[in-house]
Amino acid sequence: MNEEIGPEPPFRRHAHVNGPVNGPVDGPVDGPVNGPVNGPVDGSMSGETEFTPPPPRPGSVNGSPQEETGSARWSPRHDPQDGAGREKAERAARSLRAAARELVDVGVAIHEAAAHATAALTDGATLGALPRAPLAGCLAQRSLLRAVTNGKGLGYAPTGGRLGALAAKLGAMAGAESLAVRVLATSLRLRVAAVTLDHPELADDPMLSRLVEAAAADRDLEAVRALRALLRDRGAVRTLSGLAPVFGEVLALRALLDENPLNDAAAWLIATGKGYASADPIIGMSNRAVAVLDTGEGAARPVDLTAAEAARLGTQGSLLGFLRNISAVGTTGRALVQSVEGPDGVVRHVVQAPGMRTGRPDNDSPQDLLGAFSSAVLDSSPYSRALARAVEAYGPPPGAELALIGHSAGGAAIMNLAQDAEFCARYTVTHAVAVGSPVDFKRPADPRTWVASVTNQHDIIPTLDGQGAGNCFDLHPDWYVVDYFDSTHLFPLCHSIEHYIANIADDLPDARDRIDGRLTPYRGPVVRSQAYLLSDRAPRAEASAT
Amino acid sequence: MPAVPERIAVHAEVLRSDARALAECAERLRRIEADLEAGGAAPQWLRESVRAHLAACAAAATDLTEAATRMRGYAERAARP
Repeated sequence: MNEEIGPEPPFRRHAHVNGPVNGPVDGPVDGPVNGPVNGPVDGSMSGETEFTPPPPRPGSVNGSPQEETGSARWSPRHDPQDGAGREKAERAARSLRAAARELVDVGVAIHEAAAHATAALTDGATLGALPRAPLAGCLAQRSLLRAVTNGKGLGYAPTGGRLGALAAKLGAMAGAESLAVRVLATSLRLRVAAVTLDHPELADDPMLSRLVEAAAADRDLEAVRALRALLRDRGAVRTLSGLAPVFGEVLALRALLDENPLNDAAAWLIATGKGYASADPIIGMSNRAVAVLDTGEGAARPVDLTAAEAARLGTQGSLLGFLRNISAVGTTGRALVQSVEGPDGVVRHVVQAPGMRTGRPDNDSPQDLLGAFSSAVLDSSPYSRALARAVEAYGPPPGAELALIGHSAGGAAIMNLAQDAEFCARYTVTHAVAVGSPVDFKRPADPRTWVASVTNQHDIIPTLDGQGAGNCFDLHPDWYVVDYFDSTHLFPLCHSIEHYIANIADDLPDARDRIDGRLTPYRGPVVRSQAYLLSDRAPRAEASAT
Repeated sequence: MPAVPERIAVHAEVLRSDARALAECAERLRRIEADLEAGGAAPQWLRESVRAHLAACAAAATDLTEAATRMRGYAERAARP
């Protein structure tokens, strides 16, 4: 399915991976997006419309879960003369991703067989019966040992249980590989091949392709040399930017094939799409061990925006308006909560969460580097808990409808809030929109929460959970996922909220309209705005008073 | 059949089933490669990789069948009074 979008778009949708993304938009999308600021922004309750109890969820703003979901990939406009070639490349990329997905199933089946053989080999009953039938027992044990160590069969494949895990680690240190790992490596290479069709620069650039090939072929020395050459020639920023579309796959390939047993589990998770990479795929340091250093119950204190900041806030609810608000609030440790009166006269609330705060990696802000990391890795973090405190302080009545919008770490934090069952029991989280965020393995507590994720394929941050442009899994058939790229390949530029705003405003009109369509109940005049300064924990005096 | 031999026999059945699963894996690998080749999407390196995987799956299926047979025999011997 190939369609043009909009007049003379600089982008062209070229693949629908999980379903239609161009169905009818179920709401007005042509209202004012960002008008002059007139409404109150000082947090006063004056002028606030009386809340009405939320309607029953099935009739709420989410509509049918079948609408406005699916994934889409956009690529830059190709030469019009090259239409047939482009279509062929799109078909090939789809086939490669499907094949990569199926290879994962094959790899997992082989892994399970290895686990069963290991279980038989290490079962106490198998050993305990040896005195009753020593010859038959020894022959059986020998055949099992051969099955899980035969380099021409399952490979070096002990797995599962304490003994199996220990043997697997020792084998990894010795560079021994299993057949399951080799099949998964083939799957990852197919994912890289699929991405390369979208990003021909990966193949055209001899330095990048040398690194990718060396990683895929387990040629350590050459991979290191290629990386050094890239860093020397391009610098870290350009190297990371160039690699971004296949970052997860290259790291997972290296981790699967290297001699470090600590990163194998993370590589397995990336390769199979089963979960968030549990460790960094390079040295294998546990992500959770780092993330749990970010402690605090979360706190929020209302603060006034400066006049200049307040003047930048939108007066009408819209996707771009909310994202521009996030830009206005900035990465300053603050978040914004607004109330908008929808077309139906109901006042609803919008939580707007910016990305990481610059400064020391670990300060008293839940938006610091450690906070950004824990928000991405953990199900609950000081950032999401501080956002919950902000909402609590803002005071929407129980059951009030909320939309959560976040950029970068803010996107991970709002998804944590959406998967907080207690928070969702108190309020009705109707929408969660994450922009440039690693949220692939977040799950809203309420399945009716409509989720949208917008990511630039050259932005490394969304790939930190291990899934990026090469993702071949249908992780969220019920989400609206926009994974695109533009001519700006430079990270961190392509990660900035301003760059996302520009892309959504100018280059992704279809996606913008769809998300705005779903946000229709929030597309009315802003009747109240309040900023909050977030912190890991309440100030000591305040905490002791409560 | 006493509990321990029965447990060994269960392992034998699982191994036999896994041997069949490995044969199915080989079939899937063959089809994946054929589909990509037919669609003109197969990377140059794929044929060699799949060939190696196919050979390994076949060897692994043989190993598991052998292990299943040995485990079955072990279970029967261990069950004798």
